[in-house]
Amino acid sequence: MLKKRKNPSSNKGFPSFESFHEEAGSHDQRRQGGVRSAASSSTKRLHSEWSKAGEGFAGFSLDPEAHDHNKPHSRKRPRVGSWDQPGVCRQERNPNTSEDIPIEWSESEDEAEQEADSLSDIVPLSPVQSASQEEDNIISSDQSDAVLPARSEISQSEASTISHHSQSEPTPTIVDQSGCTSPSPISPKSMARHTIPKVLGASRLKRRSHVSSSPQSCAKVRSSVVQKLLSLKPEVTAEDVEISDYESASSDEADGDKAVSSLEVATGSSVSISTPDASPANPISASKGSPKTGSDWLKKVQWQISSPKDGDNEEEPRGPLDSTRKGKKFVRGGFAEQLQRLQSRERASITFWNHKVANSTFDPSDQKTCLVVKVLSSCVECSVHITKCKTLSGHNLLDDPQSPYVSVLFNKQTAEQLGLMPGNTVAIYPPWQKLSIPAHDYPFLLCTYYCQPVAEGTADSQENLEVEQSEIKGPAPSLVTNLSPQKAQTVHSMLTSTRKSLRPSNLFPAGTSTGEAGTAADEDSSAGHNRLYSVRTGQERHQAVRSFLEAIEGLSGRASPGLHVVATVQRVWCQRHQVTLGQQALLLRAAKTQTSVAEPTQELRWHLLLEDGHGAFCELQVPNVLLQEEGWAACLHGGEGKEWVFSGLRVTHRANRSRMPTLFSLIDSVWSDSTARESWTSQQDSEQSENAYVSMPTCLPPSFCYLVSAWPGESRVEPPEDNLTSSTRDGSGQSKDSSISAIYKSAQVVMLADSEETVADSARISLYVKLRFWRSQPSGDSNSTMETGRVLFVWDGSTTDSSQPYSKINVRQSCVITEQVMNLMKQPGACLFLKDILWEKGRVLTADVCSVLHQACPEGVVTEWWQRVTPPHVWNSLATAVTPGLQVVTSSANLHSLVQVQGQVLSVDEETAFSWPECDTCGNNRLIEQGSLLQCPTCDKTVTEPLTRMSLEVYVDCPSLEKSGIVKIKLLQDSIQQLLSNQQADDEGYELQAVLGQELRPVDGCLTSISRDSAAERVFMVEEIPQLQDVTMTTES
Amino acid sequence: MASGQLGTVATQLLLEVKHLYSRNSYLSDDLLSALQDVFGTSLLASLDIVDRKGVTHVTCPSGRHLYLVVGSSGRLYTCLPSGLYCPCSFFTYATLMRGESLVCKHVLAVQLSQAMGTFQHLTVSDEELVGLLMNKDTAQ
Repeated sequence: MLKKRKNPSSNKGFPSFESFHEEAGSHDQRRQGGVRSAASSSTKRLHSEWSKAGEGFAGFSLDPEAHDHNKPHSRKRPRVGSWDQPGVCRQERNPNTSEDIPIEWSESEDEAEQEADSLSDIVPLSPVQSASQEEDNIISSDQSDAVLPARSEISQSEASTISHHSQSEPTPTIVDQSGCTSPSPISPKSMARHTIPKVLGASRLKRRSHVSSSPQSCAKVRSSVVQKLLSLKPEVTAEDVEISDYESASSDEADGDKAVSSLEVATGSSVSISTPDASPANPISASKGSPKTGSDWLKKVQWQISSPKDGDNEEEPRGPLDSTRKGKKFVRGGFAEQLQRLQSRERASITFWNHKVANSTFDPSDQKTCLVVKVLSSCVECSVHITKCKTLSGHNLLDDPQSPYVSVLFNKQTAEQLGLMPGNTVAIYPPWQKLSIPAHDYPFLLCTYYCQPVAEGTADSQENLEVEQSEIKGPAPSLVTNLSPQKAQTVHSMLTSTRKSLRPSNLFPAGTSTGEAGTAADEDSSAGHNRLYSVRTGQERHQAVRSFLEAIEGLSGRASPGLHVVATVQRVWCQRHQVTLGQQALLLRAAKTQTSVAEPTQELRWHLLLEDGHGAFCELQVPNVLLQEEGWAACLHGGEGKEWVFSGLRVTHRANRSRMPTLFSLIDSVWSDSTARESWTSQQDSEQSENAYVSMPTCLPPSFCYLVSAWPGESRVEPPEDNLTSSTRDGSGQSKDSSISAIYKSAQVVMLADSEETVADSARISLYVKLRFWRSQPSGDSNSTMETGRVLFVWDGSTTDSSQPYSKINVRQSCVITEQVMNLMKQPGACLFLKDILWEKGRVLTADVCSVLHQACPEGVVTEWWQRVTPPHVWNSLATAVTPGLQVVTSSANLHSLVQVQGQVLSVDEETAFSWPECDTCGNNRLIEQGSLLQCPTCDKTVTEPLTRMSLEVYVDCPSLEKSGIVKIKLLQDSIQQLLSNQQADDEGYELQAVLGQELRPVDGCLTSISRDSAAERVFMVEEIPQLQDVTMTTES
Repeated sequence: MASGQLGTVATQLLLEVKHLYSRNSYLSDDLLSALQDVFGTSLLASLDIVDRKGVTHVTCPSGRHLYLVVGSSGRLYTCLPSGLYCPCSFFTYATLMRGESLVCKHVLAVQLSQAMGTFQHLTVSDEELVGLLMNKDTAQ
């Protein structure tokens, strides 16, 4: 961009620059452009640029040799050129490059004098700039890198000059606040004379010095820098921008003031460099702003200048972000990702811990919550300090009182912090992990990151423990000197001893246990599994709070994340989850197969609706795998209505009403501002007056809900301890099972007839019903907007409408029906408990994802919960309900309703009339004929008495239809047999004529469709449904 | 103190890995944390290799077998099933010479894959396996 800018003064009178740049510059053209414009500006302007340069460079290229290029032209200009040395120095912006280059100071005093001369003529001081230099110096970041390094040569030399001066004179007079025209009162010559050599001694400056000024090394540097530059892609920086900016601001050379005013710089910077404290003795630095302010200003300016130009910059800026961008991407859901998260949590936690204990000493009152050990011996294996320790206190945390000894592994950092030595006493705070090894007498403690040294005598123990120095630190074999003791020994033994010890697995015994062969050690491990167990902090154990919000707030900065709350399980249901691609890695791992699962799979997860003590809800997802754990199994199967203590839950989402209407319809059904909660909270209030939430009235239904999930290996659930259990007495004084929480709102059980009287627009109700029939909802049903699912026809004895004795319930595909209930539903008349069915005004009752289908009061299960959700009148009504008869089909019959068909058989759909043999054992209908015998391939036996299955669809003339149509009914086996009962089958089958004209007994069926046949007569398609045998109810006593 | 205690701990932890993974198909944070304590920085890279299924168990008809591990640069490292050796430079310097690390990430990845049974299988001819063994630096 800079190249395009026309510079009126470019190249005038500075041929040396041009040549220099061309020589130096195989570097980026863009940069060169910037350089050119810089070069073509006035000397003053150059100085102004230098003056800003202050950041991490001391490009002392005052070397006379470096001026050679310019010598032919004039005495003064070449020097300017040499100062500028843009080709070199700008490339030097890469701090990494520059750091490697040693200073070689080969400058003649004469040169220095001259330079100082010229400088003093031009350069006034600016406190602001000086401040900025200070900061730039400190930061030396990529951003400050934007300042011209080339200018730093001057600024440095000047800086050093003045630094020296200011060191000798606490209140330097060189600083000119106006910063414009006043020359420095200090003689530049004298400055240069003794300051320049001093520069080398000034460590601050030295640090920044990197440009060699001897010709050879200068060339070397240049070429190496150029190379590095070429390898790095340069970008337009603020440096270039600044130059152009200055040019445009003061392209007229005569406009000296402006240029000068922007110069100020270098000298000022030196002041602040030499007096970084900005001592009050220096009125300017004190009054005109601290170094910070100035640099902030400069950075701000740079930012402002550079940011609008960024559009021109096609290359990405190379900034500090670079390093973070390198962050490796791990497989989603993989172990590495898991570990990475864990690491960052641990790091944060350890940092907190270190901060906490940094200035504190061991508090003897902690002895109950931590383990105090005395280090008996210590050795280092692979940077890990393995110590044998004797426990002084905190045995209770080990659960292993047998041995007072433990082996504690300290990592390098912890050991260094502790100054670990045999004889030390160390307090180890939870969490840590304990590993018992069968062959080892005492356990190993791992992950002991939270330690604190204990001063002698602080701990209780008065025992004099003998301290055995580690014997292992013997001299290593001479062949390999730097081996760890372990390796040294191994190598030593490998070198000297038998073949056996040459087995490399001795290094690391795990190497012997290959994946395919289960060794004895493996079996041992599986027998006594869970040898590794984690000791958690007492805090974690007892910090279960009664509010989700509190728990979520408390999550920050904890090593072991996860909610730890007490909550009441309001509802439990199952949900199918599509396993996304990201989760497939997990799934594959779970399946332990190498085959890639391309198609999305489904996984069953448990969902719990939890309510805390303050009326807040959260939905907890529990993966099915956790059902194997005892606590979770108890919670999921019999935990509804009870309080549980959950720990290690992770917050995944936050939902609101618009996002998850289904969930909120369920929440609304269980949420209540009822007296139960008030009494409960007030009871809590009296117990815990500090509870901040109690006074908060909860009158509005919740508008958000956290979605949390349980994770294998992290999340736990347990019944609350006694003191946490809210023993309940409700207002009526009725005694309840204390395990049922007071805030639990059990399902609202209604009769089918009552459901119509529900006032609200929508509600969730629960029903006890008898199932008459169910069928799958056809997916291609154009009339139905419902997703595919099932339709249940149920009754409960409360409906008096004889035209519709059965109620329809849509069961959506998303509603998970357990296998047990599916089996139950096979038999007509089964009693079901439909929990949390969605009732919406004017619509069919729907069982959606949150609804649960139960077997109504399963036999032998008489629990508190069941009693609660089973009002006696409902149950009695159901028990005594008679099977209502269906109305015969009429022309006004609704589609998908149950009807009765009776009439005369008009004809038979011959395409559907056939029969086939079926295995009487397994029901297999693909029998193999072997001669006269039938063979069942599934049972692998000869079927002697095959069952005959028949299919038949007949057209029936129903009198009830009053000639407005006919019924085509697909009959079931029983009805077909009844139709054919008065004739014998021959080889060809049955005689058609025998069926025609017969009277069909009344059969129940479901009207599936109404169509017109070729004669434009309406045909009512009916599928017969099984007849209902009277089912004896299991009534509870 | 007996030497190789860290190895014993490591072995036991790998058995825990095997046990937990065979039962639940996951590794708990606690276990990962313990492994991290013992194996140090190698663990993260190893788990990444395991995640990417970078360990292949190569067998040949004669019964000889070895593991090939894909390094981060895509290079293949040949690790022997029973031994603890890896031709990578980290193993040479950090494990053998300086004794700073118990194993390199490749060996650890093999160990973890063995414990979890998550390696891929490859059957090659005897000659090819010999080729892998003889010319492991250029094995691709």
